[in-house]
Amino acid sequence: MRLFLIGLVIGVILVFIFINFGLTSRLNQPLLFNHKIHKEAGVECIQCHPFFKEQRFSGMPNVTICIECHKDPVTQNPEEEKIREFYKKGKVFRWNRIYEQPDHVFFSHRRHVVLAKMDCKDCHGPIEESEKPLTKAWVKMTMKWCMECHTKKKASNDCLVCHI
Amino acid sequence: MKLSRRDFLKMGGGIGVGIALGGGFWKWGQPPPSSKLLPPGIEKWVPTVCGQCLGGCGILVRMIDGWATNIIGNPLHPINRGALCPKGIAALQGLYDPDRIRSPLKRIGKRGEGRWQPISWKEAIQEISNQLRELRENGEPHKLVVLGGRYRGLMRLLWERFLEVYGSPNYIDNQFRWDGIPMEGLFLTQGIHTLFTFDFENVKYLLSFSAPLLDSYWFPIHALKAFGQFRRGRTGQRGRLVQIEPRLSITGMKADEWIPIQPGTEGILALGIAHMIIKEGLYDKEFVLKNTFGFENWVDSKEQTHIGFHDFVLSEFPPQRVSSKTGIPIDTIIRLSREFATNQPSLAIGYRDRPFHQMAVWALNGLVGAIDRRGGILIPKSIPFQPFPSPSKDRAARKGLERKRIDEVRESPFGIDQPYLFAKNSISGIPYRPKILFLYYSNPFFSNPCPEFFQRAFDQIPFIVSFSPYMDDTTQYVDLILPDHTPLERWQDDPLFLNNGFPVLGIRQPVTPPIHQTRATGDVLIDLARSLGGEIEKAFPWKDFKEVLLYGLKGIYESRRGDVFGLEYDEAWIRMLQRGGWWDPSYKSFEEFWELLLEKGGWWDPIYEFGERERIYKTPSKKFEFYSQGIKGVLLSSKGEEDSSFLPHWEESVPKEEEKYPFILNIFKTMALDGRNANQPWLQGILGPHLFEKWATWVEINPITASKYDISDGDWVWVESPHGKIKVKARLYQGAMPHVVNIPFGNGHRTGGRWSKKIGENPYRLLGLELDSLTGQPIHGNTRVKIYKA
Amino acid sequence: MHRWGMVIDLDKCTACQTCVVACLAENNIALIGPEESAKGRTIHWIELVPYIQGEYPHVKVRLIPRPCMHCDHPPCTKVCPVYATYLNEEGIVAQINYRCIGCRYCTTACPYTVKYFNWYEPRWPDEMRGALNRDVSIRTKGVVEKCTFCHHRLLKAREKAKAEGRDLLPEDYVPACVEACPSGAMYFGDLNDPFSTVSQLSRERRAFRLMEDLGTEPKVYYLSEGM
Repeated sequence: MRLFLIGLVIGVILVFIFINFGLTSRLNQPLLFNHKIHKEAGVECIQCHPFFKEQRFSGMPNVTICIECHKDPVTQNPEEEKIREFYKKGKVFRWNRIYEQPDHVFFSHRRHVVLAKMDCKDCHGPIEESEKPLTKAWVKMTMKWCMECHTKKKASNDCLVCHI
Repeated sequence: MKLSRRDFLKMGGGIGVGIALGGGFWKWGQPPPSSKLLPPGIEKWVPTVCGQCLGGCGILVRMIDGWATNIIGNPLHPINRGALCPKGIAALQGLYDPDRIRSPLKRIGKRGEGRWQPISWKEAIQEISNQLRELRENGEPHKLVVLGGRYRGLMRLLWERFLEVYGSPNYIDNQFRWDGIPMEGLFLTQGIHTLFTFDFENVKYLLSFSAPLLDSYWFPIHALKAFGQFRRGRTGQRGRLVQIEPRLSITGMKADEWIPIQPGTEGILALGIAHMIIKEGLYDKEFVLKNTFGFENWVDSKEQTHIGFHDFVLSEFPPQRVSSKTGIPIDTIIRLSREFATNQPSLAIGYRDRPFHQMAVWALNGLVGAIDRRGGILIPKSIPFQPFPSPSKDRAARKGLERKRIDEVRESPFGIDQPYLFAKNSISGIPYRPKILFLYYSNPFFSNPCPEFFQRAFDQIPFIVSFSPYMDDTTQYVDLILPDHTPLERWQDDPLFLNNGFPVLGIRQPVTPPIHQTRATGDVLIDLARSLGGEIEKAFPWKDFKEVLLYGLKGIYESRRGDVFGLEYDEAWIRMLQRGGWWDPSYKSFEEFWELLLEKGGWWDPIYEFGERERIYKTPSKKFEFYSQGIKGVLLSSKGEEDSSFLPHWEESVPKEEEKYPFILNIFKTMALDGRNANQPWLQGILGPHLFEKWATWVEINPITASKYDISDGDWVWVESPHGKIKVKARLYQGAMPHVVNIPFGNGHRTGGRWSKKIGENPYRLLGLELDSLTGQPIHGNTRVKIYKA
Repeated sequence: MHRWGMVIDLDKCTACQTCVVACLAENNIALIGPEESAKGRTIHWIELVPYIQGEYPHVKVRLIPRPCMHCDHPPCTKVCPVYATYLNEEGIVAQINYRCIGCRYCTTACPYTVKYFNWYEPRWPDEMRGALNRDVSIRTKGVVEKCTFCHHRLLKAREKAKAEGRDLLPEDYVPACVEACPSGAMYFGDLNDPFSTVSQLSRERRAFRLMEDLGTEPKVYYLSEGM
């Protein structure tokens, strides 16, 4: 019986290893994007994420945006060549999302960035320092985390403010 | 530690259970994948014109990432000004219907069996043009017939042009419906074949003779939007609506008074009311004297005296007689006539009853002068499209056009096409039998009374093509399907007018590229012409239907009238300028005009000119005719010289087998379904709100009658007529007359998608083939049925 | 503070049910087929309720469009064991579907029967998935849902007004049913503002509310038919 229980534990652990492996492997991004270099080159967040001041979502950059600067090689990085390859083949980037709210949460970037005058890093952390794509979120965006900030900033915690 | 085989198995079992449990928990924690929304995107509102019915509403479609996600009314479009009817919103479900026809289909099994093979557009067009070419080579181009249904605009001209250069006189218009526009009444009194409007907004007293104003009006939004204005839009004046109808319909519920009437006797009631108005001298004497013909007795050029409406009505339709036929008390008739005549402006409106019954209702409007006035019947100006150049025809075409039409419509007094005669002649082969039939916007196996008759006719036609985007009862029975786009995917014009007579042209533009491999029928027609070559090809110099549209629009641009849609207050301004001889549009070039049309949704001319007699009265007397001279010329041979044949009169349909079939069958339509749109679940869910009926066909029976027949609410019953029987759910309804049973039309498709196939029953299968001798169309309300428990 | 309310003029209402369909489209309400409908399991946040009085030929039928009344004393919120439904500061009776445990106490408590239970997993054919409204969450099987006065529109309208640096105007926030009404029979606005259309109409002679004697204080007013 003891052995059976040991087996049970091993089994459960195996499952979670598989799931974890599955999740992280999904986070392979189509491009090894380096936020830091771009920031240092003077590129503003809004140039690649064009909508966070006007819409609920910030917008993920696609080939058409990247190619504006990378039409001709800027560096020797082989990753950069990928952009032109994608562009030539008419393909688009399928970024894996790291931060994603469930359907029943109404989150608006504009509300937070424009109206509440928050910075990107308040929720996304020091993303501009990152040299490689993130594999997991900087912060786990739980309801508790949202509500604590709302309390601190005296924003409403009425359920209807976020849940639709 | 040594592992025995037994221990190993134990551990393995543990691991297995562990994986199962862990995996199960994980799976359990995941939301089901189907209920996940797509991520938000940038929204764009594209203006176009709704195509769910003929209301012509301007809509804005909310597009996100190429998906149409919602529809609202276009606030600039003067017909609806931001409002909609339920059908308009459900167009989303029409567009994304999962059971749409996705590519051209060729029949491989027997007709009606439903076995199809998808083919390419090239093959499909090749196949049709081969057939068309062969027919012409055999010298029989007249054997091509097009059966067209309800739609509007240049597409009709395109079909007629195609048939003209091909050499067939046979475009058969199959859009007659009882709840449709009472056009024969207009023709008999004003000599006009075109459309007209009722200026509801300015009416004070509206007398409706079974007109389906709020149930299934021919342009729903016109009535719905006007109703709010009619009731409460004018300070200190609330419009009064009296609904005379055999069934308490939605219109009846919303009316101030519902007066039940024996079905089919609305015409004699109108004459009874006319009798009282004349007897009491309450009619508009000035209007009658100046603008009407045939009111008093008159003498013709041969010095023969004819009886006028005045004497005829006074002698023939006393209230006693009318009361006994209609079942309406005499004092009600007297009261109605006084109310109608004294509450000016008043208006009488009917349905597409038999022609002289329509004329009887029209005569009431003549008596109170409700013609060409505020709160009356208005005749809008037409829209100045650039006419197509007249095509040159080759010998084959000229010969074909000399042939008689298959429905012999040129001999019909009203000039309305006669689909029943087409079917009858196709069966008999006299004068000839069609060889190729095109179906465009027409589904006679479902939406024509006595559908079996059409099936028999189709059995005689060797090659049938349907252009329907959905599988329907008739399309199931054809040889080749060339699926059209749905209205949200195509270019089209939509010429119409407002209730106050202002002409309006909506532009329908694609909001999304075609979702499936469908093609606009206009484009296909141009392709067909091209593949036939010769004069036919030359008659179609356009690349596609969009070019046809642009060609037609040139005429509007050059007419120097009207403007593109603007805000409501713009209207007064444009009108003022135009009256003063100024015309100051918001565009300078045709390109600018076109761009503005696409941005705003269309063009309109906010002007109605009263008192243009040539436009209002096209009768021989150039007046409103109580005695129809227009029809007299055509009818003489068949009906004789009897004066009463040309005055509004009543034609009684004699009840048959009253003992065997005790009930009169009254078929009505609902706002949601009028023959189309059964594939849209939202509309299926709102069919009969007064009885909470959804997704069904039911029969409304008076509770006292039902108890006599031992029928309870919700029982399944057979409704049987001499022509057929259907099984429907019985619903007891206090708004049903004791000897009349009411069944809604709209469901009962024998084929179609998952949401329309085999839902409910089609009451048109209970109807026989009793046609009106003048129009060639079925007669309303003269079928009797019996009911028994299933 | 706003206090949102609605006025429906039954004299102008044509019973066309545009409001019903507009709501279905706006709020991603599940498609309920014929068999399920026959069991009375359809979901309509706004629905026409018939009142048939009298006998033939003296019949009067009233069809009353009935959304959630958003009562000031809502009976439904008092019975909710998990605070999934409650009255918020602006007078909207909220229903937080993800919080709901599906006990259906509130559906029983509501005298207007505006609360609907999801008997089935809402499903759409793949061809239709993208046509859903991305502003409104999809419910799951086993939760209760109801009219929210299109609260998501308020969120968006308020955000827009604030971003443009102005106050919320009455025309900024209109529920889908009111927006679509062809005869202009429906009005929506702030009942606290004494000059708003709804507040003026709610004080009109013809104004009444459904089941007023229950003391629920609904915020949906009706204007009766006739003079």
